[in-house]
Amino acid sequence: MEELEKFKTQIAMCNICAWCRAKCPVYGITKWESEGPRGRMILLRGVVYGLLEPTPDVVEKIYECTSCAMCNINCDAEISPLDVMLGARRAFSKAGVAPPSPNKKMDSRIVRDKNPYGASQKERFQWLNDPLPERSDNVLFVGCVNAFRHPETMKRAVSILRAAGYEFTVLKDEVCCGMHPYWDGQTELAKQLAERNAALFDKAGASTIVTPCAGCYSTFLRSYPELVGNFGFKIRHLSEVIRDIAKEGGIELRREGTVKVTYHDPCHLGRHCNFYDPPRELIKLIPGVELAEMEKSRAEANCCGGGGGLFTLKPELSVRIAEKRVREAEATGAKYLVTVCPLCRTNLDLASKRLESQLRVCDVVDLVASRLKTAGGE
Amino acid sequence: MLGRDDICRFLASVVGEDDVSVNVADLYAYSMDASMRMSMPVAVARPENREEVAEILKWADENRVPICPRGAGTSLSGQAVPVKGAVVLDMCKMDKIKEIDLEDRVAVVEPGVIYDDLNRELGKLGYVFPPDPGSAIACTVGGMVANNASGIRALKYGATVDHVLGLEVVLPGGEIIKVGGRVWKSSSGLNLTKLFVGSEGALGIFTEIILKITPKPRHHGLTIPVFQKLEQALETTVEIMRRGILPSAMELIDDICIMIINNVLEEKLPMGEALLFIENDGYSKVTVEEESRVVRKICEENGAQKIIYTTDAGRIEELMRLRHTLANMLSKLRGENIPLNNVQDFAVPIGSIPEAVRELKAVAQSHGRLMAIFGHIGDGNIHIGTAINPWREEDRKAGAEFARKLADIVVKKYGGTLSAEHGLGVTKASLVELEHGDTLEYMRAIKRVFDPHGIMNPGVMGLLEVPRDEFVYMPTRVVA
Ligand SMILES: Cc1cc2nc3c(=O)[nH]c(=O)nc-3n(C[C@H](O)[C@H](O)[C@H](O)COP(=O)(O)OP(=O)(O)OC[C@H]3O[C@@H](n4cnc5c(N)ncnc54)[C@H](O)[C@@H]3O)c2cc1C
Ligand code: SF4
Ligand code: SF4
Repeated sequence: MEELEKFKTQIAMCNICAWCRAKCPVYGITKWESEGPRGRMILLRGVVYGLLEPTPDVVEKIYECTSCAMCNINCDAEISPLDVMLGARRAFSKAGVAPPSPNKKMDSRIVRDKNPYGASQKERFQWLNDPLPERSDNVLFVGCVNAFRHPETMKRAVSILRAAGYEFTVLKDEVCCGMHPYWDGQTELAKQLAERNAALFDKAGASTIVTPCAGCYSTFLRSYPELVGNFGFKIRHLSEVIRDIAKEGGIELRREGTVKVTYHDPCHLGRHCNFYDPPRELIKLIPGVELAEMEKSRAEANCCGGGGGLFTLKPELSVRIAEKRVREAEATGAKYLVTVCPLCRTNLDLASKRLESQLRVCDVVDLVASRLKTAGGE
Repeated sequence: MLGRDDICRFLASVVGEDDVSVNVADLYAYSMDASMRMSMPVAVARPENREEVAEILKWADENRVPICPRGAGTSLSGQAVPVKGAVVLDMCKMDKIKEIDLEDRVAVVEPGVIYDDLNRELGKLGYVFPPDPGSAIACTVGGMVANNASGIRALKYGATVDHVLGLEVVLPGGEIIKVGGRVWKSSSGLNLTKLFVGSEGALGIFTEIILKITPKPRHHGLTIPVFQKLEQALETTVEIMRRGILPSAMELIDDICIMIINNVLEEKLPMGEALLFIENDGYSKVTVEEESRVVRKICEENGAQKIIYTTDAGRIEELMRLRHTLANMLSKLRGENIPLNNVQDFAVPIGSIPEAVRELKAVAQSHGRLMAIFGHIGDGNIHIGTAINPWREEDRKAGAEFARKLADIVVKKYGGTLSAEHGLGVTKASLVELEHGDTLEYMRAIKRVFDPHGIMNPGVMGLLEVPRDEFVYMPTRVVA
């Protein structure tokens, strides 16, 4: 359990105080001690000192986490429970006792199909009709969730970029960024995917990677340097690129009455990458759109429940977390709940429908496209 | 004796299958509280109302199944460690604020309400439940009542006991009783309400709590004097109290704590052998400023080298939060060791603070022991941070010896107490006779009245037996 041993001091220094538990989205729903960060630290304390076997029950608890990083920012003892849990997931995976079977199945699909949906790679860019150059400085990395689940949004993204004359290409052979296996502790698989994408970026002559997905963004920015060593590309989120375009007059946005929207900070952009302002600035550039913040936003933003493999392991729990976030969004009186992560969007949308909420969930791309003078959208 | 399957089946028949667990991961997660002591429960159940609690306690009493009530498990003295294979009753589902009544000036809550959540709601109305423990973000009102918790602002506003007006309690056997009520005062009969406060889950389970609420003070002044000598800070404390000032908080932070804070946080505190955080509050700005002025004068007279003073509410909150987080930052001091819990929470009479601290420090020095001193010094509460290696027999022996020496000084010489606010739990049970002597028998007699079969939280306070030392419930290997 080498990967866990590395964290032995951190585990021992945990005060079992429960400060981190207070804001954990999973604990907030289930209220089982073992399903919050403090409980997980207690379990790992047992494992690391050889007092507790990593039985399937124990392992599963370590995976019942959205990787939202709320616990990391709420520990005054400077312990990062999430990092410890990732170490444990890696150790358990190496020892062959993890990930739990739904996650393992998902990872196997990624090995087979290069995406988590069991779809053929040919379908990845079926929605893309526009001719794009073979090589470009800027590569739009679409990511699996957007490519297979939100192709309309991606079409709109491409229209916006093209309307602005932004020069870019895509990787026709793009494979899953590896986020899912990375957080499952399947580091070898994540590494293989990372190496494959890194080679494709090189081949495309890219210097900048633009992605519409919070998960891909944080994987490139935070995980790839660890997985592939020297990963020297500039990483930009699509919302940042469109904000710059809109600011510089590259696209013209029209007023369509007035509408109130609220913005959900994806954990993997916010707490993981300290990326808060560009989507907000973009929203504020749209005439007639008023941004109302939720009670918990930016570093304090509550999680959508979709990350860390939780949606794969416990979909019901994942959506219940999203329902809480939808309720917070409703409290702002907004008509739209805007986000910049397709996974958050999917989960929040599911929750909103289940709650029969009036709130409409969309990507910022959809909002911009709907106000674009030259293209239609949502 | 009932087997695990029978226990599980019964609990599920009361609270439903989803709220019972015998899964090894759950049992292990509930085997500890913040004291880091451990004992595996036989099962965990989560009742939702008083009837479910009553049904479980009736059955438990009949079948002699030990029960460990649990709030948030933040006890620092091992009050929520389920010894003797107890069933843990996690009160998290009983977390409703039932009523806030400004005319009666009371809040009626279920025990699982988190302290901060209650104060958030009270705050909207301009009120507060003031004890303010360091664990405010996580601990439950039920746990606070069972422990008689207090904290930074207890100096002026009192401990939990000063705010509990009434309780609904389920007793072993399943009887539901109500003690106290909504009245602010009563001289009618023996005060059973106060008896239950601080009972560490050893007498019964609270299912409803009626609290007196306090209007939030509108003005604050925070004075932070820096002293070259720890003794100057302690003398200042005594002098402030002697002159009739009653700050809302008076906290001591010694040089080790200052170094830890400065190492961890961006906020840098001025260095000295000690700092005091003295907060004055009130409903009129003039009074707060006048009291703060006197406080500053006393600090100067006692040799404060530098004094920081602010009335900015945001800044005061930041600085007080910093004091709140100190207890957690102390893990920097212990590393992989564990805290020596039974010396963590002494209190001595206010006038004896300087002398007592001097003596405790001298013992630490003679034992070659690194020791941080901080705490709610205004009411004589001295927190001591020191650690032992739990895996080394000689370390444990030395720790036990050290603790006994300090306890002797605090209790015998100064008439102090082993615990100002963390309770005795299982970690201080070995020292209980030292403080309570013959009166321990009266406590045991009371325990027998309410809990004749000794099913309620066995192990705490030495009410059933006095353990040989504080290390009886150390982590052990668990077989799934
Ligand atoms: C970082 C940190 C700082 C702290 N600072 C302070 C402080 O400043 N002041 C202070 O006083 N304490 C402090 N504590 C200790 C602890 O937080 C408090 O004692 C708190 O009151 C415990 O509440 P809990 O909900 O966690 O209870 P638990 O730890 O779960 O239980 C405490 C006791 O209450 C009993 N209990 C719980 N619920 C019920 C119920 N419904 N009916 C009957 N019995 C019940 C349990 O059996 C146990 O005996 C601190 C702890 C930590 C970790
Ligand atoms: S990880 Fe930090 S906040 Fe969480 S229980 Fe441990 S010390 Fe407390
Ligand atoms: S990362 Fe988020 S979900 Fe996971 S334990 Fe921490 S707070 Fe809970």
